[in-house]
Amino acid sequence: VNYTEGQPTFPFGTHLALVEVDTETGKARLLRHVTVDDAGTVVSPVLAEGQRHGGIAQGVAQALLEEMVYDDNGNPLTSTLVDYAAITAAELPSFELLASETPAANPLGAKGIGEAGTIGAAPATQNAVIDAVSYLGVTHIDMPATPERVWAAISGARESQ
Amino acid sequence: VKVTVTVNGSQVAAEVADRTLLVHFIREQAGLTAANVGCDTSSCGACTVLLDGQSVKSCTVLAAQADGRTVQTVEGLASSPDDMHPVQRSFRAEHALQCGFCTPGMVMATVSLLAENADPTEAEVRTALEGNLCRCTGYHNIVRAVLAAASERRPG
Repeated sequence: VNYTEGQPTFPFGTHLALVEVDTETGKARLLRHVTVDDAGTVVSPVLAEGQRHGGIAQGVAQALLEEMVYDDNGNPLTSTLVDYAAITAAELPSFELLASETPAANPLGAKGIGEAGTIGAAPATQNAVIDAVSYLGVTHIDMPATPERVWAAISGARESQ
Repeated sequence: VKVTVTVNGSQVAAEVADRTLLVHFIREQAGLTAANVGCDTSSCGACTVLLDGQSVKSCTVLAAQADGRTVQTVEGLASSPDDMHPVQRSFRAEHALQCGFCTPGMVMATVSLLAENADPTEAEVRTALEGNLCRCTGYHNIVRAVLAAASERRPG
């Protein structure tokens, strides 16, 4: 079988995150996540939605919790699930998925979906955290936006005012 | 140490090292491999089983502690594929799994939750499953499946 793709496919979408930040503790919490992810013609809606759910959770987790940490000698400090804060059901809302199907120029009309949720959810969540505390003068927080980092960013912004 | 455990209704007796964990006893002595060893640090919940009806992480229980007691694993929930437990049915109906590694633990944690709280809210479901990690589903369909199983069990 020899198949040459006429043109590359590119999925696209939009993610909206609603985040609440406790300015006393720096704890950020995702309240709503609304997404459109266009994967072209969807063959199995159930599987496609499952891919989006999982991707969103991983993207949110990357923004709020999950980080591989190394010491100065390059030894990993996050080597078990005790040290690495994998996101749990209690830290996530149910997701709100909206449909959009723009067929791609291939026989199935299909595009990728697996990574779409992850790619959109991380910046949407991170930006929502920063936006939530921007009124205090915060303009940047490194990922992941852990309580410690958010609290430090708020304190720093207050001191410099 | 000699350990005798009733696993899914059958007595399993074996001489095992004192430090043997319940999950290894279940997998190697009872030959039931649904309960997975995901982390060994009691973080992930993939090894969740019921010990005398209460959900425990079987990687954090010694086999010797289960001596004389009753263990139920996901293999003990259904007698045949045509006779699935309501929680198993709802996990299948709601597509509450992808790779399936967390599923045996998720199902047993759910069975335990619904035994304690037959009509949980979404927030209660999420809190109850906090000890069970899933990397694939974002928990969305798992939570839906738990709520669906609860509503199926509700009378009227």
